[in-house]
Amino acid sequence: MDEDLQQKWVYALITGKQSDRNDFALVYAKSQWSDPVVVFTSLLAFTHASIGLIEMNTPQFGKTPNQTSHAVRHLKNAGVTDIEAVKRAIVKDLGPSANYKIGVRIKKTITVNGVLIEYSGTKLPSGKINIGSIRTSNIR
Amino acid sequence: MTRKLTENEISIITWIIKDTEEGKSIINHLNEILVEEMDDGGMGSLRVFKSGNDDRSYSRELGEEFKGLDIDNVPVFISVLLDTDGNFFELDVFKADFSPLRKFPSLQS
Repeated sequence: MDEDLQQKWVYALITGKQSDRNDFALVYAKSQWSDPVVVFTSLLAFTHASIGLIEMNTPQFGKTPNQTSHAVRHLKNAGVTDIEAVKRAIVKDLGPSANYKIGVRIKKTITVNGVLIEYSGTKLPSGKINIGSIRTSNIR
Repeated sequence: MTRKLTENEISIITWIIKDTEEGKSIINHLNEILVEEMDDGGMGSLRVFKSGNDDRSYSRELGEEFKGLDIDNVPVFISVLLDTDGNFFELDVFKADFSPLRKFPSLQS
């Protein structure tokens, strides 16, 4: 393994940035597959990059428990108790982060256990989607 | 702790609800109402203060959502929420990265 590649691998692991992981995976894909060390490390890099993509596509409902509680406060008052089911439905409804533009408000309506729910958020430059509010919808 | 709305907050709320049926009566009282800061991690959400037994609950969003920028250029989304009696209930502020609001946006931001 050449030194540039080693440095890129270490950097990708330390920073954990998706772009670094992808860069590394790409460089590795072009390298020598006959070297067992290369093959092993490439698989490791692929796994690492995949985990990163999964992390990136999982929306965040607040950075702190208070913020999460704030985002869902109107659901609780409306008698919606299974907040985790609502979150799961939102994750499923959102789909891949690549479907959305950075900084543009995402506003969607879904039905969870028969209740119409409206959620809104936005996509960050990192690709992460933050959900700021989840409320029962008054659309009739 | 309660306080009055700031000029910036009043301007944004007015902008959001000015074209709605309920807007005019709410706008007329914005200088008088007291609000409480909500526990949203410092993003700036407010609840209109009500003394005594508070049995209000959220009904719907009024008007058009305002999108501005904080001074760190992170987008901030602001909505006016009504209670079930059609009164101004909350000012919902969502900063895109969930970080604390540094400066409440103005109409020019």
